[in-house]
Amino acid sequence: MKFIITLIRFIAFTTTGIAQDFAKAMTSAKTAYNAGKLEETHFALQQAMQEVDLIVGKEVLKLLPPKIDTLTFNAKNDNVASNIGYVGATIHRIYEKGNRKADLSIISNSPLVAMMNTLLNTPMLGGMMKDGKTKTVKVQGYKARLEKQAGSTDDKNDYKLQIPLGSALITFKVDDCTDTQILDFANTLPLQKIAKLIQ
Amino acid sequence: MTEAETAHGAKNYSDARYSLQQALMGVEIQLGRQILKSLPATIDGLQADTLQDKVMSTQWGWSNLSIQRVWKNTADKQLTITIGNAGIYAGLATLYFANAGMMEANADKQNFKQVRIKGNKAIIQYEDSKGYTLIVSLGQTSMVVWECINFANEQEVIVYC
Repeated sequence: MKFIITLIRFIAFTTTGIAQDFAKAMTSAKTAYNAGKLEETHFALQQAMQEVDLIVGKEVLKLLPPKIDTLTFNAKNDNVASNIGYVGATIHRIYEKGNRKADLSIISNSPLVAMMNTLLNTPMLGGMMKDGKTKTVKVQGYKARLEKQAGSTDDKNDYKLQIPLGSALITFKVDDCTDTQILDFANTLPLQKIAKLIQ
Repeated sequence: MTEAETAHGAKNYSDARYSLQQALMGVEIQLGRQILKSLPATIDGLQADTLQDKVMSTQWGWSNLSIQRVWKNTADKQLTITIGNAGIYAGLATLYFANAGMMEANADKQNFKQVRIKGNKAIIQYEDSKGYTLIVSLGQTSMVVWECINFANEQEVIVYC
């Protein structure tokens, strides 16, 4: 029993990754596996996966447009984090100018994807949950959920677009815009290339 | 692991990740088999039915792994242990362990109560149709579940488990 508890607690953890050397992690994994040390093998393979996630995250950031409308990004605020556990890698960029922001995050293995796909592919369920503020749209052929939110002033709206790509979820939120504008901005994202990298 | 290294070298990161996931799942299943081997062959007169031994995983990640063994005797007494992802009990465990108010909601008729197994929080439940079920929560998604058929009382269940 104690062995089981120790083993489960050792393996079932969530950690934010820092850069690890892929080759070193794989060498550790193979050495540990050949020595029959399965727990060490598992840990080293997770380290290797974190490294791959970080590389993929950086490649995805390179694909993103340099600006959204008049909003620009600061590379220092770009963030790629690898989480081993329930959620996969998280890629995050903020575009901003003054107080206005556009926030883009991409989460691989997102736990919200299943629910999102259900809402998008079950018209009756989506209809039951309709509150006048959400609708299903298509962006570059991908179904997405568009949600209207309160903006910075009474006469303005923010919009949030959630696009499931396989097991990943892209969440794109833009302050003070119209539904047409956010869709135009989303069309500047190379979704097919991003999907190819993260799936 | 070799396929992951080859794909990584070719900058095919999607394939590298997929191969790593397969390697992780393989290691987890091997670990599961080690856990199975560590379980006793007999428990107080009950013999392990090794034909029903199971180690299964739906995808990589400890939360997707299930390990199962059944012990029984000729008199229809049976003990089944499930370690890891016991999907059908996950909702029940979450409800009880996350909501202390549920534990004593209906004292006269309730058929479950909270106990401790070697210091770990557990729930024991009884139903005429299935006997005793003991659930020990380990972490956020893993648990150990004992399903006990034709056991005399909860004390016997706890001693066996």
